Amino acid sequence: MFGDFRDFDRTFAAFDQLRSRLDRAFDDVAFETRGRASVGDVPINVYDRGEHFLVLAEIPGAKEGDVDVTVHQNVLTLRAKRSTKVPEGYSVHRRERPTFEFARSLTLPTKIDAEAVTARLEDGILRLELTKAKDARPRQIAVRAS
Amino acid sequence: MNTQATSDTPREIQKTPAEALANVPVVAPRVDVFENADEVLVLADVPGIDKESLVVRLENETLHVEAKARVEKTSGALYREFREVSYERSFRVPLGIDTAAIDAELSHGVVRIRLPKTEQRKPKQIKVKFGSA
Repeated sequence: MFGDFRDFDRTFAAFDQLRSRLDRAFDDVAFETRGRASVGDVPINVYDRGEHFLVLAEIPGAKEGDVDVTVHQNVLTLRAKRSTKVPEGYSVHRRERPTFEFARSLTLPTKIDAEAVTARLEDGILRLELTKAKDARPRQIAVRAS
Repeated sequence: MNTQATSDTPREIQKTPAEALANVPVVAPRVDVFENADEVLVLADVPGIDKESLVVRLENETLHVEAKARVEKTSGALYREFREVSYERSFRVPLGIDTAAIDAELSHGVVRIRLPKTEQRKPKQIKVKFGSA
């Protein structure tokens, strides 16, 4: 009976391995195609920095009114738009910069203190600091020798 | 007009040795190129660039745009969909551009380069005279 379980586990391990190999194989490809493929894509980085999560998103050309951030429990929803209109009276030679309306929800590993979220837009990068809910923050436990 | 990019995929070729070591990929920024009677206008998406690293250079009738995007160095990555890159793109500057008057401006991660046309190249209305020939 235990043997069966072990086989079962091994099957999943094989999937994990396959996935990590694919991730590795596609990692660089994904970065190299950036700038030409995937119209309307807003790449996002998320970091766990202990007390808070740091979220960075590339939204070139977006201004303050174009970005909307909402937090509910541990779900962060980002909405952004930008439009790249042809300026009045100009003809077009090349048009690669997409107009987009983008919405994405991220489920974070812990709850967020919705009152303590800071958002800043700088040079086309959206920077969010999301403070973790009190009981989710790391705590230092004092060790005492008896 | 030949505002076509001269090198769509500069990538490995133009890396400096330091960049090759740092393994910073070189990507071509997305651009829009527009034109009216007075100028050619180039807009390029360069989010997150270091302002000091932005170089707009004219050399042999070619306009080069180069910049380095910095990503905050921090640990604990959960997702990572973008990273530090070098942006590079070149354009052949068409005839009739007043190269001394080219100007560039950066705002919200977008570079805007204006290439004004010389007076001779601007369209002119020819006054038609009506005689009684």
